[in-house]
Amino acid sequence: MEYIIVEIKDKPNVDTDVLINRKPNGRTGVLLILGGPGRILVSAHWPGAQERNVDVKNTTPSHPINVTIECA
Amino acid sequence: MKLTARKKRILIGLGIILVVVAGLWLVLRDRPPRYNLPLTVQEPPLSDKDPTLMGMWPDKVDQDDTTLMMVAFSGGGSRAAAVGWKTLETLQKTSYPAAAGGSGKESNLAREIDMVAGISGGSFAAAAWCLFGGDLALFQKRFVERNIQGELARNLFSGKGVVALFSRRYERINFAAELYDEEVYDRKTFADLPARPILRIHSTDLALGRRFTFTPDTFTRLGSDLDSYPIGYACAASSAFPILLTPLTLRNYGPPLDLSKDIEYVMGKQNARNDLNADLKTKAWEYYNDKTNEYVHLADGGLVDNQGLQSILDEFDTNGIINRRLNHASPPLKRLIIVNVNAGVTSENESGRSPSAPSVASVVQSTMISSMDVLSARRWMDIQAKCIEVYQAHIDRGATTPSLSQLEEPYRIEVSFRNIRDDELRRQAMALPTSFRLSAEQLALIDKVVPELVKEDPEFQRLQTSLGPKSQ
Repeated sequence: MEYIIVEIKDKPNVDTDVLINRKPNGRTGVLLILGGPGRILVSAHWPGAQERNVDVKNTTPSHPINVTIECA
Repeated sequence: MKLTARKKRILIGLGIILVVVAGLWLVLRDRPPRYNLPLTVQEPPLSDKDPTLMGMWPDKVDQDDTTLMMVAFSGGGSRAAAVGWKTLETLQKTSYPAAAGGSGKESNLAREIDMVAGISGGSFAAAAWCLFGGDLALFQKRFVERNIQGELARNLFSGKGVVALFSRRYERINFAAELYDEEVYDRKTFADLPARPILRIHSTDLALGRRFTFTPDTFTRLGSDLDSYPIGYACAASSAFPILLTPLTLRNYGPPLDLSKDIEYVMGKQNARNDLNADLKTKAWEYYNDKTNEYVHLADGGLVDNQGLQSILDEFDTNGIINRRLNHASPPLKRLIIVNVNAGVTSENESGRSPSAPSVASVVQSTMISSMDVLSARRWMDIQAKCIEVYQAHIDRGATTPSLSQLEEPYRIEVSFRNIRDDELRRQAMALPTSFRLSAEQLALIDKVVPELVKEDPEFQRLQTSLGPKSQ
């Protein structure tokens, strides 16, 4: 399993749905579990949120990847 | 040369037989079985935010949404169906405390099942549980206690047998499918299934050597409608053991899908090099999208996964039911319960005691059955490892991660003859046949050992402690 934390750029306190491969899966700002390593599309349910293609690997619950989503 | 009257009569008789056979062949050779139907009306897919995609059921107030429970039934003919059914009965007799926010009614553990997966003989119990729910006597009578293989053999010598003999499309599996459809499942189709538990029936696609699951997504890739497909036919495909039964055939309808717009496919291709599952899945979708592959031939699901455990492993994947539920915090998941109902039997292989090369039966046992048992055991170990990883995340980050804050150590319950403590009972259970017919004595043995296997399982006992004294 792999672990990420997703935040909206410059808005660290926003609590909204995270979209992984365009499906809602967890919330921003907290630890999220992924099934395994590999590339995923990450975004958030937030006006203008961009999509990021992230390669996730070698993470642990204590050392997740932090993904910052930029907004247009 | 002058023919005698006797020879003339023989020649006329042979001529008549030839004409009848040719006539039957002409009339019956293209007699089609019941195929899956093309997709005419595309049902709108569930909203991505639908709680049922996380195993939650907000419309059912007595369902405890802080528990996610998944059960897998292995193959093994009527033995598997009987073991699965007895396990469900035992779970049904286990009290479950009233759900918070519900009507205050106490429930039972079997009612908490969110997903049930079945392979071969186990698919019959899985489907019956979803369709008939608490009516345990109905399926017991219609299937578990019935001499199914005797009825299938009788069909060979009936009109259906004649059709199967001459038709190149209507095969022996089709009258098995008709029997299950008409006499076990009351002609019910996938449209008749309730929203919960989710049913996963597995078979094997013979062209791909890969698991084929009867889901709306798989059928959409075939341009077909799952809702109108009979449950009995899916069980027939799942239990079509090679040679004993012919494969069951589905149609693959056009037009092809635009895979470049399918995000799961696109990301799967990006990960295919390092992820074998993603590679196999995307290749299967490409194969179904090639509409020159007009037919999909399905055989016993046990050829690639004889315990249905891959189905549960898949739900740990990103965006799988377990994965999404673990990341969902309102309410957070408390109990993840996985029940592995394994009706597998092993016989002692004595080929090492003789200098002669092993018999064909022994080789088949070692290469097809024993090796598959090892693969399934590894899948069960993978599930256990994932449960431990999940719980480790709770230990490390539960205090700061609302979705993991309430999680108990996931429960991994195994119902398997290998766990029978009494040597003699274990020997008897391991000698149960793999067939579609069990004697009253064999059923009595299953009735005796299965409840004990459930109650003696250390993980089940840990769960009972968590549920409180009434469940014990």
